[in-house]
Amino acid sequence: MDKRANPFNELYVSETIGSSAFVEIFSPSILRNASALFLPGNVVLKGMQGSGKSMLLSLLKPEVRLAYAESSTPFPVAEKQARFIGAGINLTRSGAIDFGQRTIDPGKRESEILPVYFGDFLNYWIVFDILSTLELFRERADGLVAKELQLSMDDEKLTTFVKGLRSSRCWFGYLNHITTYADLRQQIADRISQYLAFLNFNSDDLPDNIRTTKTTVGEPVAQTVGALVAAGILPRDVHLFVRIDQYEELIRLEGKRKEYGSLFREIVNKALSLRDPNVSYRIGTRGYAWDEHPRVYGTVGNLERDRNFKLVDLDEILRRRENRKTWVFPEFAEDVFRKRLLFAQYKDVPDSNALGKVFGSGPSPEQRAVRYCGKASSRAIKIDKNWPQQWRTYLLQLAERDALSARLGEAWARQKGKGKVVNEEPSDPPIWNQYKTRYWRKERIQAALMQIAGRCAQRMIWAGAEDILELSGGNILVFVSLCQHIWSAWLRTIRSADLAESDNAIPKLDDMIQAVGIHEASTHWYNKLAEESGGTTRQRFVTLVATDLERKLYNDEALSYPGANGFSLEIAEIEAHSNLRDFLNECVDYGALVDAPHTTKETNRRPRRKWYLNPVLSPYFRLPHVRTKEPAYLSVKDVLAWLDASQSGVSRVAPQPLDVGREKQSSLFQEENS
Amino acid sequence: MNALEDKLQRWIMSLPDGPVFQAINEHVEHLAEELYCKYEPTKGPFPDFWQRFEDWLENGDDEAKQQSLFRLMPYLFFIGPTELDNLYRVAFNFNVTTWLIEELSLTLDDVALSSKVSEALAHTWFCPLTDSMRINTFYHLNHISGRNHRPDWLSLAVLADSAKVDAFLNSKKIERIVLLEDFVGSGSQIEPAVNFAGSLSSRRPTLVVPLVICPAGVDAARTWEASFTNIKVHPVLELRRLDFLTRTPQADEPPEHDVFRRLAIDSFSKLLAGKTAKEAKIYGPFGFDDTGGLVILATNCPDNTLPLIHHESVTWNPLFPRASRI
Repeated sequence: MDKRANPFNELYVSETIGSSAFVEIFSPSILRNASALFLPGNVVLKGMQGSGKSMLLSLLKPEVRLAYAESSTPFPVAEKQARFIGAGINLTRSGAIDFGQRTIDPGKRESEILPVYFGDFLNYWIVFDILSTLELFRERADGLVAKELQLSMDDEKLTTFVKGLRSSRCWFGYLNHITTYADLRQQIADRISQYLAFLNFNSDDLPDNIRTTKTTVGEPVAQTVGALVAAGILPRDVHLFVRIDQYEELIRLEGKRKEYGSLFREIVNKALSLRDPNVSYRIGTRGYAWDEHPRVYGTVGNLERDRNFKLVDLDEILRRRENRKTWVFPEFAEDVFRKRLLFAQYKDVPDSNALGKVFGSGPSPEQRAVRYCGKASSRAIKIDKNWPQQWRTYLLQLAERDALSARLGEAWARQKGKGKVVNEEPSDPPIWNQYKTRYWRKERIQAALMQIAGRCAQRMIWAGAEDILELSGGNILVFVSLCQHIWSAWLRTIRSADLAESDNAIPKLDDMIQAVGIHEASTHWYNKLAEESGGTTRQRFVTLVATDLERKLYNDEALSYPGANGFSLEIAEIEAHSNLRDFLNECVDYGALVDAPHTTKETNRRPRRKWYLNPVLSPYFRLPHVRTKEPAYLSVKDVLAWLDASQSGVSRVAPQPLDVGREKQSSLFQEENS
Repeated sequence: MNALEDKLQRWIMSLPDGPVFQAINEHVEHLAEELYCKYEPTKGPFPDFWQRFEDWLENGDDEAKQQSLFRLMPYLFFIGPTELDNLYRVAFNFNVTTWLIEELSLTLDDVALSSKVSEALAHTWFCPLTDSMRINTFYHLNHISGRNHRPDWLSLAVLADSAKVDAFLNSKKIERIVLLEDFVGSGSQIEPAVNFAGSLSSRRPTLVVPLVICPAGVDAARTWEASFTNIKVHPVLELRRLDFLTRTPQADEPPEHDVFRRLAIDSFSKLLAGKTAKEAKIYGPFGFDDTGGLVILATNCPDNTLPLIHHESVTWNPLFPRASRI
């Protein structure tokens, strides 16, 4: 192996690696949370970029199934749930999203007729893929998978199948003249080719025999499976899962012309509405593309969740909750990490806790404070001119031993009702370090460290397995990206070293190397915000929010609001401003922010929701990523000011009168005195 | 961990400039891999770029000066081998071709345009102005054939007899001349060659094509065109004034130029290392003719470029050491 190669260089492996490599890289840790994927019934797999959707859907592909059969690794889906065949369409690679770039039928209204052709194209593509799947199972891996699924494709059955299929009305006579399987295959392939030729302006017109035989979306797929079962090719208990990849691309297609509305998605939704006993659809999509009430083409009805489809929200599954023990992401990340190292031929990769072995536990808060201060520990604290000399001396001396404690002591002295400590004989341990104040301390450590770092002109340090997992925010792509940047930073340090061929032991990475790599990754993700549609506005918005929060948190010398690295709004207020609501939802769907329900502490008890930066952006904006205590309680007016500024390209918002007022008012929220 | 990375890490983790250093570091990392490793004078048994980079930063007496050197990196314009090849192609396909079309008063709607241009090319002589121009590469990349003799005209200006050159042009039915040069700073180096070409009695139409030219060179080119009616100058890439670190501040120059200006002046004594400028074979803190260049070609570093980038002395380590002619 070349130790100079970065095992995490390839981020989007589901798109670039072959099936045999997939077997080595794929982590089954997440399967138990997505078991619905392998049960009959339509499933919409929702998640941000990098949540792992494509990897999960790849398990439905015949090539991957065969790769497992050809390897020594068992197929990760339980035997009982593995009785399926998969077919599908990638809306981008198939050319489906080229619909809309050319008028098909000048005599008719485009918005009426185009979706019908689109649906017809989907049908034929998927049917062709079903046939290709069966052929692959028959021909590869010595027919092992075909035997396992009890598929039977002898000539006689194929002929029976063809007869049964062509007799269905759904084809409107397109298959009437077909007698053999080979002809059937060719006829379907020809139709697809003619569509693609037309869409790519290689032919002037669609042939009449296509124009007059358009099929209803989903129907031919169901008929094909029915005919396969009737002919004895497909056992009754073997289900067909149809993958539709890149559903979110339909939004871009619809965006080309306003009159399309959500027509293309409605066509796909119509297929889901059919509820065929032998066919289930699997839609992989990002959150912003899936409507809360998905409409069905040609009807006034919507798809119903749980009736027409199950929603598997990967972001939700992988998100961290209050109780860390229920968080499934660390196991997933650990498995992905191990597999990447093994794939890159590192040796001595431990069976467990590879993350810990490589990244360690990171420096403790006290150690971070020491690193920030360097030799000038006095910079960690700000002395109030009214403090007595004894207290000042005490703090400065404490800063030399324990800069973090000194900072917390400074904050304690500044807090209302605690200021008398400056006149008292300091206790040992100091009151802010005692058991009874452990929660007070715990809630303020991150903010205190942020302030110490700023006062000492240092960037904050993130390092250790736990920090990396938390910055990943439950997104495997972000996790791999963090590893990639950290690994690059490490490779730079061994650039000139002579590495022996045999030197393939896994490294233990220094905290500072990790910190540099994490900052680079954070900058990368910040820059990435602007990539997608509407991204520039979201990037500006996040910048305005983060800059404002950072400024306030940094200047909160009393550490009264240590949790204000996020903000909270009343739900009723947001609902009254649909543009803001939609924008915030978009920010979450595109990975700029994360949101969660917020249990209010206000006496009015009105329901609220809270938003934080996507954790991976925290290093870039110098904000702690840990959520402690209460976020900043804002009103819609505050957030609208940010939104207006970001939409008009303004780089900062003038401080609101509300800020000044709030600082002078007593706090509604008593500090906890444990 | 190596000392360079240790130092860069400290800088990257500091405020307020940590993010800036991080961006510069990523920039250098990327270009080191794509471009800097292709610098010809350092191929073979020579310290690699990173070793030279570390030594070059160490030239700064303190970290502030080292950081200034580091900050200079994004302003360097490195023209790699692929970029040079592209300049050769553009020179031929655009500069030369459009000149021929103008010279011959051809029109773009002429159905015989292509054959007329080809015919004209067959009677055009492509030569270098100096030996630093890789004329063979120019011929190969542009599939030009039929010329055995490709002398550099600076040598011709010194050694040749203009009557013999005219006789050669006549005997080979050469109707026009194209003179190419990879880099033109002030133009003073190639001026004798241009004068020689302009003074030939045959007064063949002559196109001078600098691949890269500095603003002072553009000024010189205008005087040549004014002096010789048969000479035209069409550079491929003209550098902007703000791409240079001049001795005198320019309006709208990047604010950091002031720091770099001071650095260039303060470090000059280390470049001299006790010698005179003539002895040290460098012209001044801002390079030949005070150009203040920040350009490096993969083939060599021009002497118009700041000597703190290319000069070596007992007290100064170069980043891109120059293979000097003198």
